[in-house]
Amino acid sequence: MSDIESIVRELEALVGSEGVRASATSLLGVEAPFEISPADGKTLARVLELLLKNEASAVVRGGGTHDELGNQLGPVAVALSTRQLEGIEEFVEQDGVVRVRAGTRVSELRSSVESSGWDVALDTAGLSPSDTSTVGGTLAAGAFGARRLGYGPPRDCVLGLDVALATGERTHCGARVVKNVTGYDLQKLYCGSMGSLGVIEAAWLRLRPLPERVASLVAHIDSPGDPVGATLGLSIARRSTARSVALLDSDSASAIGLPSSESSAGVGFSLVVEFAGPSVAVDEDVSWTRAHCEADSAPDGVIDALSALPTSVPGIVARLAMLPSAVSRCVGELQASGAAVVAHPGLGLVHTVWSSGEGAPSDERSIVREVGRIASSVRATFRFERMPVRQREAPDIDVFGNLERGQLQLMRALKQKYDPSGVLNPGRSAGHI
Amino acid sequence: MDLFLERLISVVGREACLVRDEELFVYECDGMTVERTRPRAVVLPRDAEQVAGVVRACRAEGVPFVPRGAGTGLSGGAHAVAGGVLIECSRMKSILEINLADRLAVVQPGVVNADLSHAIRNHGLFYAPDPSSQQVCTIGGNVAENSGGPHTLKYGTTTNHVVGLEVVLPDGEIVRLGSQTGFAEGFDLVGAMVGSEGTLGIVTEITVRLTPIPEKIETLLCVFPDVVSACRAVGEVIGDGLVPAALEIVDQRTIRAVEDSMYAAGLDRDAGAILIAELDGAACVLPAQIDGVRDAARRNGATTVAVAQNDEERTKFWRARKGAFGAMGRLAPDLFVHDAVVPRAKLPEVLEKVCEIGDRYDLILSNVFHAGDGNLHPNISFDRRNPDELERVLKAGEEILELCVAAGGVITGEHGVGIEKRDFMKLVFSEEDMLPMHHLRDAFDPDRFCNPGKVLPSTRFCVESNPKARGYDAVPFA
Repeated sequence: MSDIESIVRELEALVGSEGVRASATSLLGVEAPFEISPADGKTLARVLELLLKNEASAVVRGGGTHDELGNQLGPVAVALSTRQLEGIEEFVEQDGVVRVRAGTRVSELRSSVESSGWDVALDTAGLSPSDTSTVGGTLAAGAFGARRLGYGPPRDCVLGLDVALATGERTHCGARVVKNVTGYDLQKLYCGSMGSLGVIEAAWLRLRPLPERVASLVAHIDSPGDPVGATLGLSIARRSTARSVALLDSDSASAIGLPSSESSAGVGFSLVVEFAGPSVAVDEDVSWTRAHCEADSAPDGVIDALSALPTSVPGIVARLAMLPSAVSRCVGELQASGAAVVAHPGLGLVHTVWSSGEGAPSDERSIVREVGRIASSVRATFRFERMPVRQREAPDIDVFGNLERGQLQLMRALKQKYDPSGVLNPGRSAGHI
Repeated sequence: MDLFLERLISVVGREACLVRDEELFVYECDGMTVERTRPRAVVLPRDAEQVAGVVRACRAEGVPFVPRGAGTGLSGGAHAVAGGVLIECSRMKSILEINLADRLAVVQPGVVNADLSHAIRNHGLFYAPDPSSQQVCTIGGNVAENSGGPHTLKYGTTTNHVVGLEVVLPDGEIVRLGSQTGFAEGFDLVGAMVGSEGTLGIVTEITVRLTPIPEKIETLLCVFPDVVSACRAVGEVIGDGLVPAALEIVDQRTIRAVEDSMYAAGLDRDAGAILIAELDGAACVLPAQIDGVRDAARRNGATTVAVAQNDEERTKFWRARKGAFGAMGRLAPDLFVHDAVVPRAKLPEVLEKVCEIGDRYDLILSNVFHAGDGNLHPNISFDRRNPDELERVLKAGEEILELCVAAGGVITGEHGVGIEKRDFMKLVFSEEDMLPMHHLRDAFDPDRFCNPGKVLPSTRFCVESNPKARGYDAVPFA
């Protein structure tokens, strides 16, 4: 690999001085002393060509909200930022579709379309205007927050993508229409690929109508037959306007500013719910919920705080995904292991946090093994959303869990085709791909 | 019998390996009937191991293979390759598991779409993707084509309902992709597989999400003076923030064809167009939604807006739409069913131009379409025995596709590319755009044994086809 500084000088000739920043970035165990920010797709492609020519690699960054997600990176020359690839290019109000550049903040996009009665079904770290997550980064990470139940997966709002390949080609897939089977559905492949197959330049997104009403409730679970509240939570999650349904233990409730829950069952779970939709339907669902538990209006911002929780708490953070019917058992096992828990019963998701502070490496390794064991026992997939660097460095640890051999082989074959020289995010994806 | 065929028989059994001409004749085409290719053999495996055995046998012999469901596809995606083997999945027809608590089902690819919904209906659930051929088409075929249907607007297409697949790869390996949880780690290989038209592998098991049957359904029939008015009403319904379950438009020519047929529904023959709007969900929200559709319709000149009072009336409203293609069989011996998509906002202007194209080429052109999605089905009734008429039909078809793409649309919304539109991919995608598609295909099937010659235009495949030699007499189930 050529000297990094000489590469950066060549890159600066492409992106201009405003596109180069000295950076103290340390991502996933590697240093990226410079950040390169092309201002348009053509320059982005030329940056990628130059990196390829110099046999150099880059870590791709959006808003940085998921900088800690992924396996140990291989050596990189620079951080490649979509910071300057921002802006809404076209908003078709009548159709509820929008074309937006990848570096645009989701919060900015949301505020731009809200006045026309539309909403963006992307919720990485809440709906707060201060959220820094970008459209491209959210799609590349397949990231979502506490409203996943109502919003669906991020890939479902993508109609088309413009993607720059590691080999320098600029491509588009999909289109601005809501129904399309023309060619392969590459949008699905790119979403969630951690930027390993290409760099998203821009996206056509499908918007959804802004809900007429939003109502949030909080309740304390006090049912010996359902101590975690998973059964009740699942029933609520299946109401027509349920957008977020979460169960929090005492530690997690405290972390988002809710008072601890005391119950006769002694378990102390809180239920947090958000309904969004037509007023009459929201009212109906609120009434139903109150008929089944003592629920009060939730404090403002509690759902946003829930969305931000996994990326804001220190410690080892894992996400387990299982069938909804297994949530209760999983929560019980995690609690017995000493972890804090947030469960989304409608989705079958459980976030769990082990505070590490001064934890010894052997303790961390035990935690990693325990997550794997519990996931296996409830037939869950899992990932570590935050893990100390020294654990990531262990070659036998994959933060994305243990994928099947056949699946990994296909992923490697795809990586070899799309990015044969490993320019993009080397080693970050599942399987250290 | 040659050794290769004997090897196939050793995998699937004699009765599941068709080799005689009279057996192979019916497999010469799918729903795209003009272009025909007789396979070397048709095998009907019962499970993934047999599929894998057939694939390995084909690979060893250098023989390409094509997966096939019910053969209802309209783009030639399941057409055999000359000298190749057709792997027909209809014997893999078991519903393996229904998990009511978690709302999942596991099925083999040969399960008929409607049969799955029927099996779970009494539990208050259904399988949402509902192509018009659902009484016949299979879930495996739906996966291959990413099938939708009239209710795509609200419920999405097959890709929104599949969480896991078992696949026999083109090298004969069996892999599991995705997860029952819906949160598989790694690349979204299930998403890439759905809609790949059987070119990346053969699906042998599908895990799907089940959807609760809505509490209530309301169906409206709105009568308009013309198609453009109906399209504008659709645009306003969507722009007002409503998400109906279905928005379907039928034009006057189709209405008259239906009323002259056994599907007659008592519609006004002088109506310019009808809009069928279906709303479903919590009962409490539907009255306001009915008002929303009614108001949008009235603002755009609807002369009648009727709400079905019972299931019988609902069925009657839908008859014009569901009987449309059957009714067109009375207009001419052959029917060319187009399938293209345009942005909804462009529907009025595109429809006007589509009708102008039909008039200019002196053709019987009628329109039936999923207006909520912008998914057009301009249908041209003709007689392909008339070479001049056939030529005009093909030219009109190309113009329609070019028109739709120029309006920001695409060349297929649900029928797929297959053979039919392979050479039109260049209207939508450049060579650079298709490069990552080739990468995807190469990663799964570098030697191009699995359904070669479909989807991507190339000169390096076995099948060559001149679109100008084609006429279309498919009576579609779309």
